[in-house]
Amino acid sequence: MTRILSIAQVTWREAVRDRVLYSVLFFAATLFAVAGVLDRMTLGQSGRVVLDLGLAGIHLCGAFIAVFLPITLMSRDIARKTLHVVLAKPVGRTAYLGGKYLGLVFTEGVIVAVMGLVLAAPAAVLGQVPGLAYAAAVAMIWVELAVLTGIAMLFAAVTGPFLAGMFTLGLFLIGHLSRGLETLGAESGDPLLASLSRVVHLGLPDLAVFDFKPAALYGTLPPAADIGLALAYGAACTVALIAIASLVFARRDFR
Amino acid sequence: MNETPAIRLEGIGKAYRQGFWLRPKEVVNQVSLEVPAGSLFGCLGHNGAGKTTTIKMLLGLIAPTRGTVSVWGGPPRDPAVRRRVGYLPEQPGFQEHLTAMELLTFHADLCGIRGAERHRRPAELLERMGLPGVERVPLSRFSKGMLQRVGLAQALVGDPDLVVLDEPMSGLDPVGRKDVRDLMVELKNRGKTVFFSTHVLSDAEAICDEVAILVRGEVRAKGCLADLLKPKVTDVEFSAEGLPPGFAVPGMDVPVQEGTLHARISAADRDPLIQAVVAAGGRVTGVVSRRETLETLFMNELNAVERAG
Repeated sequence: MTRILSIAQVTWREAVRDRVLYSVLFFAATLFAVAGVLDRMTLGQSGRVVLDLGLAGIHLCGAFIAVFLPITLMSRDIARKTLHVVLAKPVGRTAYLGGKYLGLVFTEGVIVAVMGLVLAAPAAVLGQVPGLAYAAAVAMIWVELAVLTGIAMLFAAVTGPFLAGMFTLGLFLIGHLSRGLETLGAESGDPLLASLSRVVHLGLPDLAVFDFKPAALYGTLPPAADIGLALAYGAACTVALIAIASLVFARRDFR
Repeated sequence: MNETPAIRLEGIGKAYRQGFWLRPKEVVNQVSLEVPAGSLFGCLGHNGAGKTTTIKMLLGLIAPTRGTVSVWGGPPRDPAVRRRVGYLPEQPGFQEHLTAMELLTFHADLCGIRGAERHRRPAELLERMGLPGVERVPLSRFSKGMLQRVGLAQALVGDPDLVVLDEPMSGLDPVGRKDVRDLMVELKNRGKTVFFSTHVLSDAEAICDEVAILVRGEVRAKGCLADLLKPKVTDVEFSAEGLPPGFAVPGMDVPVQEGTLHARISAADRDPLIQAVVAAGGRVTGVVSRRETLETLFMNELNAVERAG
């Protein structure tokens, strides 16, 4: 466990010193500028608009980091042979993946938390004081990023950085569209299309499960059962993704 | 009592599938060798001979297509085996945003070192590697030679019994190369086993107990240097001056230019030629006996493989 935590700590240091957290500063600066403009354009709803845009911004910014940071760090480890000296130590390949994952998810948690706090300030000033519903929405963004990180690490374990990025982005999009696609398939009347869309919806991670943003806009805290189910689903997806990544990684040759 | 060898490779081979039709290409073929505990073993070969692939197979980074690999009597991926191994790859890269001390304490953690030793040992190693005062310097500011030294430090941080070094002198200046050779000898004198690869034969000839020569993925020669290199004289570099015009010796090709002779002759011709020069009134200025070197052996093996196609 110490080895896993040590790898996680190094991953955090790499991410922080690689200036990925500068994205937080960029986000904060952009948000304050947008809030200042919107306050003059909306009819008393500027707080809600800022919250809506801000949560979407946190989501997209976080997704970008969750897709590209794991792939960048892992492919860099392999290309520079950093991974070779780590795996030559008494560290299993699964422990390496576990430590890397923990470090990445912790980094993403810090980024999302800071962006959430930064967003709360202008929203509160504009009359939309964030509460528990808002905190739940931000927390669920983090859970989604944790699942997305698992997807990125799986593809990074299998293939090179470009394809891993493309596949992960693809699953991010499918993950948010699969519910709608399943509905379309069911209503199409074509049994093959209905089955295919259902397989895609059930077989791939359904990232829409973690979208609590609409409830946050109206200050409505979702039922505890919904939050619990989303957390359990996120944990199950993550465990499955890391397990598959470990199986693949265990067989990979590092030339 | 037979001690467990540090490394035993039995008939290992590695083939990669390449090209559109995924045809297998052998990069290592039937390599068998044994590295005794406490020895300094050199794995020699040209670029692309299969040295790095062989090293990665014995570390478990690459799975052999066939054959068996045993390190300290166990499989290379066994954590108990890995605790006794330190490794430095060729031209290593590290997390450039870490400082030297952070890198070494990280690797100390991976080796299971705890407490005060976790900082004391890295500090000692940085001092030993000629890198004092760089503990807080980010690795991005290190030169190639400094990175190689910090790489050696991370290989040694767990005090391993077997140290595996892939081209350890790569990128170092002559002083650095000597330092690394001295370090390897020091490790061996402390009872460690050192296995390293190189294509610079003079480095191996200077310090190795045993060597294996790889050519195109196959072991062409292996064993103690004393056994591999023939001790007898192979030829003689002969020089003389003050010779009369038309000087010649029957049965020998000894060209003379303006009274000076410089030729490479067989050992058997040495004494007759000395007598002939003295009888002709000349002066012998140099007689250097040449014995077989590692380079000669290596080139002979390489030429043999190329002739066989």
